[in-house]
Amino acid sequence: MRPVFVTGYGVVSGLGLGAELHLDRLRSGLSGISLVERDFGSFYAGLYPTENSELSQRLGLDPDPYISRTALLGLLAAKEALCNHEESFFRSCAFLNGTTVGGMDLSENYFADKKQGKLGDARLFQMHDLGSVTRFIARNLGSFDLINTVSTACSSGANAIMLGAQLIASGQYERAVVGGTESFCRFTLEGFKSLMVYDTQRCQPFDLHRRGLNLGEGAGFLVLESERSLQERGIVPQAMLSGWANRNDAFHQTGTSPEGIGAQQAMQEALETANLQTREIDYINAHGTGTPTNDSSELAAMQAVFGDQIPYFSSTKGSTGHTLGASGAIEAVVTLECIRTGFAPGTIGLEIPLDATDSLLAKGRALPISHVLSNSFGFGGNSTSLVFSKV
Amino acid sequence: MEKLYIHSAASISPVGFCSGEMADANAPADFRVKEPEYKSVIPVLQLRRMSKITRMAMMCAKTVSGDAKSEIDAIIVASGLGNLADTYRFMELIHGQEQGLLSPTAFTQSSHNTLSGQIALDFKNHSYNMTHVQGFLSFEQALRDAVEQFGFGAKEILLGAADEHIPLLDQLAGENGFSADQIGQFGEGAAFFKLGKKPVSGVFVQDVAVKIWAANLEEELRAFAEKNGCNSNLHVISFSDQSFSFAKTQENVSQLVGNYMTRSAFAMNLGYSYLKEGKYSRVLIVNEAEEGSLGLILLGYDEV
Repeated sequence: MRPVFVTGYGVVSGLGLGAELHLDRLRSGLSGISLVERDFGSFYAGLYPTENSELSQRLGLDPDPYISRTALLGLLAAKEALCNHEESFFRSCAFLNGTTVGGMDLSENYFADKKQGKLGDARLFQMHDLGSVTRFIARNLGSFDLINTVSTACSSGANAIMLGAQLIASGQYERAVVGGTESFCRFTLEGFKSLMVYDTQRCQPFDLHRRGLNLGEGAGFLVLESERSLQERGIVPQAMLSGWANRNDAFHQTGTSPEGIGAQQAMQEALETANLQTREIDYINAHGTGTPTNDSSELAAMQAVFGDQIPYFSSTKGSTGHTLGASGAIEAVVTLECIRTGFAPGTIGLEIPLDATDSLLAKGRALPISHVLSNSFGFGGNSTSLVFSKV
Repeated sequence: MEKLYIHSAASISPVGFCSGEMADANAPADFRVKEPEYKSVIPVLQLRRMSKITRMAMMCAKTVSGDAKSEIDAIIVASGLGNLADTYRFMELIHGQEQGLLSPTAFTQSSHNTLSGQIALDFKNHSYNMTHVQGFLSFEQALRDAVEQFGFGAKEILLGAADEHIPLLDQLAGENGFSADQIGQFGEGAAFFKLGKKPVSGVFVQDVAVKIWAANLEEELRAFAEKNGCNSNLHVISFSDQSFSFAKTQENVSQLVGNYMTRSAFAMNLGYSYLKEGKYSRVLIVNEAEEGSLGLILLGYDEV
């Protein structure tokens, strides 16, 4: 298997735009979650404040009411990851995106209009299919050899990263731009509300009295390259993507098993791929959504894998909200910044820790980091773990 | 690439339910699937909660997997548009007249990975589980993933695809200026396969390719066929009436199943049947997709 290197990354979320800015805000303990007022109600969410028309302008695109915000946010993060690449970069290069809503931010308006007795504009469905969002982002970046989309609920972005790593590890491709993107939709808000896991206050991941999640929106993208590609381009890598695994909880369509079987297996297999012992992991960026079941089963899974030696861990969803299909990619960028700066962020919102040990970080701390584990779990029992390592 | 043997195949399509080999099919009156009796395979209580796409996928997945459910070490599913009926149902709940708490069932089943997740749940299978959603190339992408996972050590893979039609599609297409003829072409269906490295059936996937930009179709096809050493006796399955000079025989299967994003999975079931019957020695599935992109699947046959 060929090693997989990370040579660039970009991110946008409720915290703002840019990888460095994300770490600065996390270091300061800031949250991108605020009270949002819409005509259908108010709720806490981590939204990127810039409107679509301004996003288009910033991206050098003509404003177009039929371009999904999911695509615009994705393009913004991917451009940061890919700054200044010549046309030859795109040879033997794959583009892989993970998303769950695609262009639903537009298509759901059709139903809202109909309800109000308006005609409804069917063109709002032009980007409803998830693949079209990916094609739009890819086309605005360069001529990729492969364009693909995966959709596995909240692990979509992490799985896109894993699939890109596999393409390079197996020798199929030399480069891959990988990640995930998601925009806020009323559909998902009402969905999590109907499941009674939407926190009406600010979410509190890993807190004893946690009530549920807050949604967020945003995107994260990474540039992955083979050793040969690094040599050809004469560049040095920023980190390695050393391990990955996808396993299934096979317990319930939406809920996780109390012992987190899928999560356990994903973490164990990711460590095996990376050829690392449990004690070598310095920090875990947990999935930590703030829902009662996720956090307790994820903690149980960490206990099963790491015994009483759980590494420092935290959830950054108290800062970004749960960005669903983008979360694995946004958190991958956060962990890469953690490796670069030697800092592990705290868990915003935490008051009474679910875990009594010192491992659960309430506040951020300086920490030399060589290896990080990043978890992403979703509906359908989908469980993915990634390992990033210092080079 | 290494040969990937198709151990079993099943599909539900406008020409009916097919478990294994497909009888010679006549063009159907319309392109809605002819669903089988599910009850012998799926418990009634589960069946009641499943939308059409889920019950089609589950039926096919169970049919091809048989007793080998625990031996499967990857479940890979493709869907262009996912669970449309559940998505639409939850939209209607949100934007409907009723006030108060919404039932979460449609929301939880609206996720694109509902099919792969439900199969894992039913099979109690903890292995690799993936859902590819790249428009008309979703199935080719899923097949590529299967090839990749075999390379990483998988021995038996459940691969499938499904898309369902809902009436809203016709309405939206009409409002977007599609003609009645085009709308009448909208199809649906599901097809699943158990793939393995062991030459059980003799039918195998020889190669799969995805081209993002196929400038000259005939040239792309010729290069692909040459690369795989099959210049003669090639049967081409496609979804248009375009003729291919190098094909010995060819057919357009859109008259059997209509037009939908994972139609090439049906074509693979058909190709599998032809090769098992010994009708042809090589089958090439040519899938012209969005914006000049192209999917190619080459199937072959070895005596076992």
